[in-house]
Amino acid sequence: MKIASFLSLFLIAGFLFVGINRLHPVGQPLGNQNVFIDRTGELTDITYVDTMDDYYLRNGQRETGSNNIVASVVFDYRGFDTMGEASVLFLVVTSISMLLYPSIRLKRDTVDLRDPRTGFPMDMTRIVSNGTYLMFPLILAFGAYLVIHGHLSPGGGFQGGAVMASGTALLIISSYITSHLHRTYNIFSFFESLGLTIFIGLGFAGIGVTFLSNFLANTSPAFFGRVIDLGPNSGYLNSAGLLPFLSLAIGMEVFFGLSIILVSMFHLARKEKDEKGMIK
Amino acid sequence: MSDFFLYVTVVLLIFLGVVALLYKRNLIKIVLAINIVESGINLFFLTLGYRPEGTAPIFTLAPALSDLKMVLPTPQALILTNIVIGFATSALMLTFAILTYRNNRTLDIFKLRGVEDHE
Repeated sequence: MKIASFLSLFLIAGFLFVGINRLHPVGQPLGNQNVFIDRTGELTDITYVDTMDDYYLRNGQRETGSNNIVASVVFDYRGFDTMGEASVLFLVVTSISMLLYPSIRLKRDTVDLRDPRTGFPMDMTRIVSNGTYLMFPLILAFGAYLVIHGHLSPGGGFQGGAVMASGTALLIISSYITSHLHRTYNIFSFFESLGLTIFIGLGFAGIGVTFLSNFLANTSPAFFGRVIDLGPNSGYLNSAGLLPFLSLAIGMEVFFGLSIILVSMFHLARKEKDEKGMIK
Repeated sequence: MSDFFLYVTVVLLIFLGVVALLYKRNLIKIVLAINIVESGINLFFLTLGYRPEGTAPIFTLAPALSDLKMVLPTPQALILTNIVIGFATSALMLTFAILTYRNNRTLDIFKLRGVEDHE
């Protein structure tokens, strides 16, 4: 048994090291380095384009109106892939709550860990509670900024949603979400489903061309369709068409989905404490 | 060989994860090993798209076009996908570990399979 595992390890390492030699050297990926020469903004602009990445870099800004090429790849060129990913996240959240729900259902669901006199959590110092009051709005604002500016600066729906969910984790460790499991579940799961539904609905809105086609880009500035200058610019919030809306939908789904996971795990830990008699 | 140095790091990271996957007996450590393999794969994608002196593929307040080099955008988009999926699957695996512990009062995979005297 030991010999077999050693052999398989050596085989895996050997395959990996042999595979390295067939790759291109680090720092010299395929494609044209000077892909931006003579960019005119014509419709099919494939001069100096060698690979798919070159195409995205040269034409992404004109076709989707988004400054952030990664966001335009995630939400526009490969939007269908992102829809599948959001569905996987939805499925995972659903199965986690389905698996954990029988073991976290409490008889005393409305037990509140806060001191009725002061309104602060009982098993946490005042520093953590006050710090939560300070930090939670800031974390939410930063996450919302990442989501809304996803097509202009580093960020997007997934990152912003994860940052906002860390705010939920802060609320949990300072014992602000301690009771009313059913109500929390209902609110969070409603908004999570709403996010995914908005994403798929926006996909169907562009079905005149293809599913998830960016029908708002480069139309009118009132509907997020501002035509931006090619090349470096200062960034306009009302550009990129459908991308900010898709980013918002994904941000909503990720935020509430991760919050459901965190709340489920917190309630499981609290149930174990309750069974051991550590909660009065 | 210095051109391939980052690839060697990737291989070592993945190899470390596989070693932990094979030799650890605790379920939670196995989940962590899968996470290590996954971060090795993320680093591999990032290495594939790296270009010296390349900026992030974002045009907001970027340098002028004449001397603008950008790293490849598609590997970064794939990493974005991979991180979220990795988080979701590791949360699911940890949930399974929790349920296993609640039912069997152990996380040791040999005890779970009923093997008493392995080598």
